[in-house]
Amino acid sequence: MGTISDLLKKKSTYIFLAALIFVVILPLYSSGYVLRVMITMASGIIAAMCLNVVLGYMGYPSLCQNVFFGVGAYTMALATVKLGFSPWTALLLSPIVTFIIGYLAAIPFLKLRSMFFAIATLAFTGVVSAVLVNLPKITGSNAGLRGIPRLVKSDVTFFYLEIALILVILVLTVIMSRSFWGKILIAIREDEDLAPHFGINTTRYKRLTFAVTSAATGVAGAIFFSYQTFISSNYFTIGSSFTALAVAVVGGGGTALGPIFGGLVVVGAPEAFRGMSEAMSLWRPAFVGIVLVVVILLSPGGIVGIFQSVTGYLKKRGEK
Amino acid sequence: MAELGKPILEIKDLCKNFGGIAAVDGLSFIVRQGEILGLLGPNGSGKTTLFNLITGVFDSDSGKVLFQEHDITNEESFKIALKGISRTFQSTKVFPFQTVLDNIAIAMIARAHKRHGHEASQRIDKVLEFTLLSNVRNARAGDLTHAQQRRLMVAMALIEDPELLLLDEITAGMSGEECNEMIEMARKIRERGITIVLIEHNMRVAMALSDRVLVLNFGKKIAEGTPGEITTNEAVLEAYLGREEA
Amino acid sequence: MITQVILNAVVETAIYVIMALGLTLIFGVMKIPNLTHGAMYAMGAFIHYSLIEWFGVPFVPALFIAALLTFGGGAILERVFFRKGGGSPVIAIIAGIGLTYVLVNVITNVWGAWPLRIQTPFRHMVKIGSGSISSHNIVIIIVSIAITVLLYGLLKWTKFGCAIRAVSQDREEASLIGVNVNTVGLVTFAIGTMLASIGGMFAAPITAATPTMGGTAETMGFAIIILGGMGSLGGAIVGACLLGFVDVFVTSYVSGGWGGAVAFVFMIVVILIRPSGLFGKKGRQI
Repeated sequence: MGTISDLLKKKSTYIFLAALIFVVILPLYSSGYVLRVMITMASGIIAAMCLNVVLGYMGYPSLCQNVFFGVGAYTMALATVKLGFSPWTALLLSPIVTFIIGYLAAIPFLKLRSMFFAIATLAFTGVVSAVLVNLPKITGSNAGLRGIPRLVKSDVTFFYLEIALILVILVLTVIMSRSFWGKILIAIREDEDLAPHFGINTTRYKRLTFAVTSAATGVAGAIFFSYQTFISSNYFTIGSSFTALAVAVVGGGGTALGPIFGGLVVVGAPEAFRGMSEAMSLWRPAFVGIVLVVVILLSPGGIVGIFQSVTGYLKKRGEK
Repeated sequence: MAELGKPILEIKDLCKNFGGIAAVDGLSFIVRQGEILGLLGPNGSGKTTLFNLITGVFDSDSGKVLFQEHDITNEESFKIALKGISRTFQSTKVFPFQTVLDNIAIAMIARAHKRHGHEASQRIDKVLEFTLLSNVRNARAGDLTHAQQRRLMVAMALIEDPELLLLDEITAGMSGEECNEMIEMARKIRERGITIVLIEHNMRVAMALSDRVLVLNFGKKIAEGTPGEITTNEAVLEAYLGREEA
Repeated sequence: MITQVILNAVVETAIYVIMALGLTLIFGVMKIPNLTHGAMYAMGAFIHYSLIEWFGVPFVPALFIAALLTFGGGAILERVFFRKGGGSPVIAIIAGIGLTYVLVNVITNVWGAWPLRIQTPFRHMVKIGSGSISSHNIVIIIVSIAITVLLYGLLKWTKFGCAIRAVSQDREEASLIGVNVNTVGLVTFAIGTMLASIGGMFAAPITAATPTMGGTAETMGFAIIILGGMGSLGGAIVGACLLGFVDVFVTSYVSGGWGGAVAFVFMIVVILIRPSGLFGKKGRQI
């Protein structure tokens, strides 16, 4: 196939493969704590990749990502702990339940634009958060539910599971962005009122995109809390809804790889600081906040945007 | 004069109010297959609102819009576009951050069987050539000149293979030379069998192109006829010039 | 019992009025939702606390000093981070989120995460009917009314107030007739931030000061101004009354946890049915 030999010629393919190998080997040499951080980071990356499709490609600033993370997680938790399903069955249920809820939420919310959409999704997070806290019989509220069975035994395998999921979503995102679906999302993002005049059923594509990304986020949630074996409503407050946003924005909206870089910076970097000094870990949220502000004001395209401007600049200089 | 065919678009008693003001007020007329119908009238007479009603941007308060004998009143925009009505806009609407090619790709995306392959790229090449945009195919739409952007709108409308094309002041902001190019283009479009309704403020263009002219004022039809008949019509003169004579 | 609930509701409404006025003012002029409002609400309380505990400033003068400080702080925030003008609100939202992270973290690290008790000098309890209300709360109500009147006066009768109204109606037109749009934005943002912090300063003795105290307040604030119409002062007051009463009644008679959720549901319903709120119009000005 022409494309494979093309791929072999590009430098980026080799960098990618090297990174892949590094990522695969890394957990075998990492301490339990580092592994934990990486698994958390991977979850955040997956949630951000899904948010990235809705925010970066479609142009809808959703602030309720962690609702779907939670729906998937609670499906896993309730299905296994209360209904006795096996974790893999629960894992299959999670995206289905999340898809349904995502689609139902999409119907009213996607009628809104920009700022109102953002605020409505924020309020939605608040409502769901309150529901989770105030129904202790079902959700265990703050005390939580224990004893969620693990999908796989070891931490390392969990990490591989998440890497696999990241790769799958990455590939799907790239395929999507190059296909008609990607073009429709771009049309919606750039001028949603213009798109229907070309026969594009914006409503249908918006809802499907929102629901599908929600489902994927739900899967990530299910996996993470299976790893954790414990869940509580503390994880799903309004405050926590912003991590996915930070990762998506910092990495660069509308690019497939963006959220990966974002995750490395937002989650990974502060942890790297931890090694240097205990004090640094106290300032982690501030760090995230500063990075977020700096990125959004100076380079709304995120890290990938910076990368693109730099390579663009270098190319121009090379041409002189 | 072109041959007059069956009615392709029929407007019946169409009404649209905005906050108590009638933008379109009991409007009725017919557009025949293959003709070029000019839509004239002073600013605010309801012409663009009419286009918006036809293409589903607004819902009408009452009345009917019939396209090829199907009732498309208050249909959703995307369905109307798929049925074969395309339009351009008074203020340039394209996707500014996408290339010309990508703009056209978006415009044709809804018609699945024509999206890919050799046939598709041939059609794209033809449309670009027709609208004099071949040499800027990879430029960002936002970087084009004003006239080029207006022609891009036409290209995007044409790639959908419409039966009816609505042009809203397509020559706005164009030089005399560019207007002539547009007149040529419109004539060739009609030769392909596409019916055109055009809103124009540029009288020269309107009169040169239109087979028939409809004049609106305050959302009502005040005159209908050939360009020649219209220019001498009392009501039309009054609408445009105001009551100057006592 | 019901008298007490009503009294509580009035107090809560009073605090929310102060917060919401600031929020709606900022939105009306700058067309962006200010997501640092909650953080500054908290910051106000903590600065006030520090002035009292570290510098020995008495309660009331400390209020004024802290208010001035947060006014300045708001001005700095606007100048450095929010001078986007008619820019995309999404950028402002994300910047606001980031700044909140930073501010809350600063508060946590400087003052600690434990709730701080702040003593108010107004400790007298007044009996009204079957309920009682502390003089502190009465002061809140008075201050709230005073701020409303002052703000109204500012907008109606001063030159600067005219400028504010002009910019909130049409930014471009205003700059064309010679209004310094940037200064108006700066001062408005500063005023709004100051109002948020005043709300926090008065709320702290009641609820104890925590770094995250601004979170619910801010979301309530948004619920209020969306209900009342973003950019409408009258709407902010009406919205504050409505949601303040609903919140307190739900909390008192139904259950503690659901008060916030009710506000959110209100918010969603209003956004869906009538995004311009009770008193707003599309592009509505102050």
